[in-house]
Parts: sequence; C-alpha cells; structure tokens
Amino acid sequence: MNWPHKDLIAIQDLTSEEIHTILDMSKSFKEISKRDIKKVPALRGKTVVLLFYEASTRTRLSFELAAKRLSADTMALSASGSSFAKGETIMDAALNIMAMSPDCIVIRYPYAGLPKKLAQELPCSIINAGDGTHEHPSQALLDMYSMQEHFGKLDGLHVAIVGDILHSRVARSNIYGLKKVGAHVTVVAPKTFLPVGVETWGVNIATAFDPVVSEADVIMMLRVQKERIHEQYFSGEREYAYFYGLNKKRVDKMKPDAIIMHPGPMNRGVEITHDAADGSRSIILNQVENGVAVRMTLLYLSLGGNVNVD
Amino acid sequence: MWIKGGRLIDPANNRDEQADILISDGRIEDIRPTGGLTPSGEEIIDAKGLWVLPGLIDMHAHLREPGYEYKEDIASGSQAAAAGGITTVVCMANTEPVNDNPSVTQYILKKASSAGMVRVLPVGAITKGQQGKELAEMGLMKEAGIIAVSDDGRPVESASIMRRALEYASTFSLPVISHCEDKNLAGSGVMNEGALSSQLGLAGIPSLTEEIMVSRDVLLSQYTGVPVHITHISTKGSLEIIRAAKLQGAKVTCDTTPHHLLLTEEGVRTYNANYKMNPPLRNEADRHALIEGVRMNLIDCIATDHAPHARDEKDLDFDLAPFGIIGFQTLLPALMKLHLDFDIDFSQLLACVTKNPAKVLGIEGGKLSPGSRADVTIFDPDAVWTLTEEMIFSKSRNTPFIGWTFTGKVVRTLVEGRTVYSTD
Amino acid sequence: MAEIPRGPKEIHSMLVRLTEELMKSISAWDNVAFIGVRNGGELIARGLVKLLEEKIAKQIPLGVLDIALYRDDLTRRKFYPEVRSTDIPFVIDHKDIILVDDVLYTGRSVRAAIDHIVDLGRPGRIYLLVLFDRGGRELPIQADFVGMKINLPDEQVIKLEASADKENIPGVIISEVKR
Repeated sequence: MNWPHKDLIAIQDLTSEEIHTILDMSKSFKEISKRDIKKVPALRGKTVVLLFYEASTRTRLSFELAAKRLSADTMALSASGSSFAKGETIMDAALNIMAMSPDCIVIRYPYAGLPKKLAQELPCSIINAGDGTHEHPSQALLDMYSMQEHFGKLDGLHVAIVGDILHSRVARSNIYGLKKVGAHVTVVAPKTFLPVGVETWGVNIATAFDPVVSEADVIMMLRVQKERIHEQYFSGEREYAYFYGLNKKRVDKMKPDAIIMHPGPMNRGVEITHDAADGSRSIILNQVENGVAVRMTLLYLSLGGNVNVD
Repeated sequence: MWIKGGRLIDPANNRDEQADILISDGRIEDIRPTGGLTPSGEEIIDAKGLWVLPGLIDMHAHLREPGYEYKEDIASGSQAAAAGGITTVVCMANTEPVNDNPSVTQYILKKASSAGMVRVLPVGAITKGQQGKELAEMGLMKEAGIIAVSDDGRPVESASIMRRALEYASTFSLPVISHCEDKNLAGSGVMNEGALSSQLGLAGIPSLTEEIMVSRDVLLSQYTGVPVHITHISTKGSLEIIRAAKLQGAKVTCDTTPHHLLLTEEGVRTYNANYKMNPPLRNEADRHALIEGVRMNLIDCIATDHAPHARDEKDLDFDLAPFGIIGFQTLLPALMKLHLDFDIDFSQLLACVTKNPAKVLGIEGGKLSPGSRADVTIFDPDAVWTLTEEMIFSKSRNTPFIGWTFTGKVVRTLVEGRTVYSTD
Repeated sequence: MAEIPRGPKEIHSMLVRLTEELMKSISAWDNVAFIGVRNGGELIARGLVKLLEEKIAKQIPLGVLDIALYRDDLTRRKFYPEVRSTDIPFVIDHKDIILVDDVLYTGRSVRAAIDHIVDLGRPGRIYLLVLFDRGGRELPIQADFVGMKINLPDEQVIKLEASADKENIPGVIISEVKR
C-alpha cells in the first residue's frame, strides 16, 4: 500500500478513497485501545513533537496517547512559558525543533496557514491539529469514523451541523470530508453565524433548527463562544438556547435512528442540554474514544514508510 | 353593521367610489356599490358626504410607556390616535426600560389590550438598552409580539453592528427600521445647519448627518441582501440616495413626517421649541424635494414620529428643550392639506398611511377587503376647523400646529368594527 | 527435493497429513486453540480446524492475527503493509496455541506474530505449524509441524493464492520478485 502524503494538513487534500482507507484502518487501531496491553511497537524509536500554541486538553491528550500506543516517543510543547512567549517567531521555533530530528510535528496554531508552510519547509511529517479557522482534519475524520461506525456507511447520510459555522474549523473540515464521501450536509445557524459565500459550499442552509431536527440522521452541535455576544453575533445564551439549542423537546422529534455529536468542549445549557448530551442518542464519548484510534492511523500512515524515498 | 353612502377610498384595492360596507364580528363581510337594499334591524352608520377610508397605520410613534408616563401613556396615546383616525400605532422601543426583551413587549401589549382602543404593535430594540453594543433578544421578542426592530431615538452607530443586526433580524424575518444620524456630525446641534442657524445663534445639524448614514445603510442592505426601512428622512440628499438605490433594485424603503412636508426651519425664528425635532426641519428646497418624493412614489410611507413631551420640558430654551412633537391628530389633516395645496392625488397620500406601511412591515391591515379587519376611518372632507389645545387627547400638547386651520376632520374611527372615536 | 505441490487438491492432501500428525502429537484438545497469521495462515488454520473438528467431534477455537504493526522493518520499507484487523475470540491465557502460517522463511514474521500474541495474553505454550519450510532462517526459529521442506532460489516467493471465500483451500503461487 502506498500512502502518498508526508503530511496531513487539510481534508481538502484527501481523496474519497484516502478517507475510506483511513476509516477502515482505524478499526484495527481501535482494537489496540480495547485490550489489556494498549501498545504496539509499530512506531518504536520515532519521535513525535506536539506543538500546541492554543490551549487544548483533549486533542493534545488524544494525539499523545495515539503516539505512545504506537510506541513512539512524545514531547509536548505549549505556548505559555515557551520561547514563543518570549517573542521567538514560529519559524525559528520550528527550525530549532527540527534540528533535534523529530519524525513528526503535530501542530495546533491560532492562525490559519502555518501547518502548510511548515510542511513545505520541514522534512518531517506535519499533522494539523487545528489552524485558526481553516481546518481540523483529524476531528473531521474521527467524526466520520463515528458516524460510519453507527450507520455502517456515510454515503447518503443527512448530517446537520448546528451553530457558529463562521468561526468553526471543525465545521469546515467536516463539510469537506462529508461531501467527498457522498453525505448531505445542512448547516443550521442564525444568519450572523453563516459565512459569506456559504451558498457556494454545496450544503443546505437553514436558519431555523426545528424543521431540520426531524430530518437529520446526524445532529452535530457546535460550541458557541460567549465572547461572540460582545461581537454582536448573537443576542445571548437564553435566546440562542431557545432557538438553536438541542433540548429534550427537539431530541424527542429526532428520527428513531438518529445520533447526536459534539466536538467538545460542551456548553451545557446553551447549545446542548443534559437530555441530549447524556441520552442514548449521544455518541459524544465514542467520538473521544475513536479520536485516539483515528490519530493512531494518521501517525502510522504519515510515519510509516521511508519519507526520504521518493 | 353597515356604513352606508360614503365615498370609499382604498388604494390597496384601487378603489375610489360610492360604496357601502357590511361589517360583522370585527371583520369586513361585504362591500357593495351604494344604493342596495339594507336588511332591517341592522345598525347603520350614515356616511353620506363623508369619505370612508381604511384605518390609518402610523408606523412610527412613541407612546412613552413604560417609564415616561407623565408625557404620555398607552391609554392616552391610543385615545389621541383614535381621534386622529389612526387604528394601528407602531410604537418604538425607547421606553424605560427599553423594549429589548420579551417581558417589556408583553407589558406593552397588555396595556394596549386594557386600553382597548387601537391596535398597538410594538417595535423591539436592535441592541440591548439601545446602547449599540450587544444584540437584543429579537427572536424571543418576536414570539412575544414585536413586528420590527429599531433603535430609533438613537442611530446604530457602528457599521459592523448594523450589519450583524440586519443579518440577525432577517433570521427571524423582522423588518429593520433605521434612524439615520451620525451623532458625531450632529454634535450639539439643535436645528438645521445653514445661514439661518448662524443668524439665530443656534448650533446646526447639517444634512450630511442624515445622508451619511442613509448611504451606509443602503450599502449594508445591498451587501447583506436584507431589506432596510429608513425612517423620518428630511433632506433632498437622502431622497437622492434612496432614489438611486431603488433604481439599482435595492430593497430600501423610507418614510417622512407630516411636519417635514409642511414646515421648514423658518419656524425656528420664533425660538418656540415646538419647532425643535430630530431630524430638524430643513429648508424649502428639502421640503419641496420631499413633497415631490411623495408624489413620485419614492417615499413609501408617511409616519408622525409622535413624540410627546411635557409642557415644562418644551418651555425650556430652544437649546435645552427635548426634540419632538406630537402628531396623531394632525396626520390626516396634513395629508388633506398636501392634497389641496400641492395637488397630490389623495389616494396616493392615503396609500402612504395604509397600504404601504402594511406592506413594509408585513402586517395585516391598511385595506378594506372582504375578510379584512374592520378598521375604518370616516372623514369629513369639507369640515373646516382650527386646532386648539383643548381638542388634544394626548397628555402632552407639544405641536406647532396649534392655531392652524385645517380642512377635513375625522368624525368616526372604528377598530375591529367597534367605534373607538366619534364626534357625535 | 520433490516437486513442489501447487494445486488445491495437493494442498488439501498436505493438510490431511498435517492433521494426522497433530492427532498423534496432541493428547488433550480441551485447551488447544488455533491462530492463523493473515492471510495465508488464516486459510490453512481454517482448513485444519475443519478437518480436526470432524475427527474429534469438538469445537476448536480459531483466531486470526495481523502482524503488520509488529514487523521490524516497518519504517524501512518504501511500501508498507496495510493494517488489517486482528480477531481472537477467546482468552489467550494458559492456552496451547497452534500458530499457523503458510511459509516459514527468515523467521521474522513468526517473531512478530509471537510478540503480538504475548501482548494479548500469556499462552500456556505456542506450537508453530507451517505448510512450507524453505530454510533461509535469520532468527533461531523452528516449526513444530511442517507440511513440506522445500528449496527456492532467493528471487522467488511462494505463498497461498488469495481466496475469495474462506472455505475452500486454494492452490499455491510461486513468483519472481526483486529483493
């Protein structure tokens, strides 16, 4: 098998076959996390550096576990207390790290575009763990894996993504990926949270949640940030929860087979209530579990094979 | 109940003819040409020699309740409106507290229901407290009964906030009404800026103050694709911007006030604060432009901007008095004056206070069709009368029209078939 | 060395002989389980289990092992193996495992398979059964049961044909490969 990508920067770079390869392989990696000895020697001796310039617990932990379960050595660097805080440019930081020969850098950065630049400049594998509002490919892949795990397929699924689409890299990556594998996406949000040009994205657009609730196979709730009230994107939590929150009333209207997802962290009481998050339709914790498996697949694919051979 | 023998003028149905109306259960049941037989036992209102019009819709008024009940309250305002032949009052949100949440909306509707006179439709604020910082709970207010949003009283100063407001309001299908005023340019001005203001020693508000924001809102509307209604335009320049926008297909509508059509800054020579309002009375060129704007259908609506203030407040120095005048009872007489003095078709003027506001706001009313609400205004077109203080039903008497002689008087007003005002 | 059997019938005969050998060597079947190494070992293990279950009239547990993640040459190859699933539907602890593969050559695949098994549990013991032993060991590993010892030049590879269904034993392919 030949995996032609040194890096994973964006879902937009993957073909539909490549996405399916990742999802299929993730099943095998999931088994490792379920057994007693949660480790295989596949990436023994490889070094994975986690460069997280944005606060993140779950994604970082997920990547670290993934690397360690493949027997790789990991190093985690965060923004505060680092050279970055002292004013070093990101390129200098990356080159310094590169001088110590890591095999892979997993990077999360608050501004779009850096992972792509690093991929071009550095010889090691770069995996994008989220760059600004641009993409978060591993999240979309674990989301698709979770959907496929439940439904047995992705083709033809109706997926509703609800919330602040404008500021969401998770929404973007999911939309790109889901379209490639033949799912249908509806974005649900007040107009202020819909990006300019969304009509060209090939998705259905809804500003009212209720009609979509009973049609969707998957309802993916996005976290809404309180700061957006001060930026005049919406009026407040009470009104947002009333019109766009997934509450018991809406959960009861969902299709019998439909599931609830959330990339986390959740704002309980705003975009999602206890009934939705903790009920039987929620696969939110499965998403987290699957995240490790999918990230193991990504590390295995990017690091396996001699990257210096053409 | 029948209204018989009157001249029915209904621009929405293109009607101007002698006709009789049958009303039952608050709705218009039938309209027939005059001369038909009347079943006995029915109540008959004789409208011979009178005009029978759809109840007027005043799409911009301030009822001052909650918070400023000493100036006006919903009951007194309703009564004044009824006396003016106005059956629907659209009241702005700059009360105290501001109508920026469903509780205040419900309060206003409850008070209107108790007054039991005219239909009161509240407008919700665009931003919380009208402070221009955070969006108000438009969705919840809509569920409570608002029919549009506006920060009127104040402009929405930030273009980015206005943009978000347009997008957010359109999510809930709420029309946005914009008060266009660049507060920085307005400064401490109290009248139109020009040769006269310099002569009178009063700080001026240039036309630009309004035009800059009209321009901005037109562009925002075009960019977002969301319609916008610009209220109380007062200058030739604003009209030009709106004309050009409409030609480009922009979804922009506008209204002006009766006083901007009848008065100019000349009235300020008296230093009588009843000539002080915002936007200020402009010059003759502006006034003529507005009149032509109405004639050419560029101005969609005429609304009073009814703004009661107590006597003590308006008696202050011109610089210190608050802006605004009342207008309910002089609306129809003003239209009549424009019809007679400027030869504008009455039906066209009537559309500005019936069919057009109903369309802009997306509300029921403004027409006399079978099945419509029986909101009817009966008007004596020949009555000549002079406005005195005693005739005014508002709690406040701040109007420069006291002492004016008008032709045409409201003799009866019906809301949902019930007489809420009558001169008998 | 004799001519290398290739056809399905001949392979089947080898399995029958191996079954007889197993019957002779193993006295108690209660604790025995088969694990076939993907892909070739899986087919052979299945075939053997079928034959044995007829003879002893008892069910024998069967598992399938993928060794991709335990290879020692993983990051040194240009093309690297697809990871397929491992499915061991029984507890490994204390069992007598019969590890089955199609060809024993350098011994590295078996080393990987053993490492994988001990990560899953602690077997009582492991027997190695292969269809063909072609010599050329690079690690000290020997099979307990061998179908046939053969000689092949280095450039040639022998393995079980891919089979569409898991029930029928296929034949064997010998092909050239550049090392």
